[in-house]
Amino acid sequence: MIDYSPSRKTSAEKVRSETDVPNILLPARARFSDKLTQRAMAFEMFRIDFNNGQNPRTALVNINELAHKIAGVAETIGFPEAGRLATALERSTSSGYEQHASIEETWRIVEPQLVALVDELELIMDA
Amino acid sequence: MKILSVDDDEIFQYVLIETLKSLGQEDTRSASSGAEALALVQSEDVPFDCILLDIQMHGMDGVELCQVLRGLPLYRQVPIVMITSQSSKQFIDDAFAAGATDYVTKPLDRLEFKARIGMAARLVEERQQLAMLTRKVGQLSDNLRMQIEFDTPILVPGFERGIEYLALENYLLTLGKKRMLSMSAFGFHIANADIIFDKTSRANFVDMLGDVAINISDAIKTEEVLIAYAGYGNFVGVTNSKFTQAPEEMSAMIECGMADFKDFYASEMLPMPRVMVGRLLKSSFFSLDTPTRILERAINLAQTSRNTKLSLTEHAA
Repeated sequence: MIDYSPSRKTSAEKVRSETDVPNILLPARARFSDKLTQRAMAFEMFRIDFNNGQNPRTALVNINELAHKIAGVAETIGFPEAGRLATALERSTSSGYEQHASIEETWRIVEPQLVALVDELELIMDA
Repeated sequence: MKILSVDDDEIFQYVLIETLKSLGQEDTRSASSGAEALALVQSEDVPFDCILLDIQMHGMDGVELCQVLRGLPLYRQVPIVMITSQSSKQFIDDAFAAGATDYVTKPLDRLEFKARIGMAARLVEERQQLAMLTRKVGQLSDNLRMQIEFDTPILVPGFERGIEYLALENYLLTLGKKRMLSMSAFGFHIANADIIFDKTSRANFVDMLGDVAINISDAIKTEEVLIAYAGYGNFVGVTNSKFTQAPEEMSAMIECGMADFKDFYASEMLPMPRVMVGRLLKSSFFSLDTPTRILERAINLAQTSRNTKLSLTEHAA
């Protein structure tokens, strides 16, 4: 069973310091950090769209695509917890369709994961 | 190696290109979509040696792009490595069925990535050496032009359902032991392949493999199978555990199909290939082994099977 909940790791374990990331990847880490505010806001917007019933399927697809982008790179550039949460969110948004779950059932799993990821992104922004 | 990397995420592209540079791979190009990748491939005078593809992209996805690339003669055998965060079996199946050579999951683990790129580099180097030898030898003889040995696992020309043996091994390694439990394998052994190899040219031997491959393909009643030529006159297929076709039935169909080539083999003074089909091997019986061990065992079963009729007599002098 995969644990999709936010972990109990300390901040230091969740976000590796710049010195632990290879020098060649620091520009990618900086670019990732620059985009955090925009991405956190986008997640919040998709969440509001879903809860307001504004094209909820599109909201789920958008969440999946954004989670996919974070999941693919976060751990490599020193943000393992954000990577883990994004991977879980990406899987939930796509597996809901694969398992023919209703959109409401999918959302019940997805929403807390989305909130946890946005919290983690904010934690990185504050660090 | 001249490498093309295709991914629609600019940050991951940066990470990938920089990681490749740190591994000594400086000759890299990148594309952010399938369409851009195809345009690049068609505009380059010197083809790429290796291609890295993301699966989930807007427009043409990585699996579709892989299929299109494999349709281009210059890219039929170029190593294509899928680099993706998708780890479900369906994505893995689709990628290898489309012609992927290997599959790496994100996030990128530098050591693992180094090993996979190293494998691709060795493959490219072997093929470059072969191409160089071919140019030197020119048209001197078929045997020298086709530098295959009896043990060489080749991609049989014209065998549309076939993939490289290396790709089949990588497929099983990507699935891992747990998901291997839902898989089965079966082998095909050309009992007199060594005799045919000794009696004829390399080109004719490869043609013979093509004849057998087509008949194997026709005999298997499912599309959901990956087959590769493993060398030594052996083919091996991997499918899901629901596959139940009896080896005797496949053997009879192959024998029937091969009979169409009887006159050709007689005119070339060659024995008809005698194909033995091994029984289906379920992975659960040897789950303690490495995932690729199933291939060797399936081949062993084919080599020791008794389901082939020996009625097709050899025409060799």
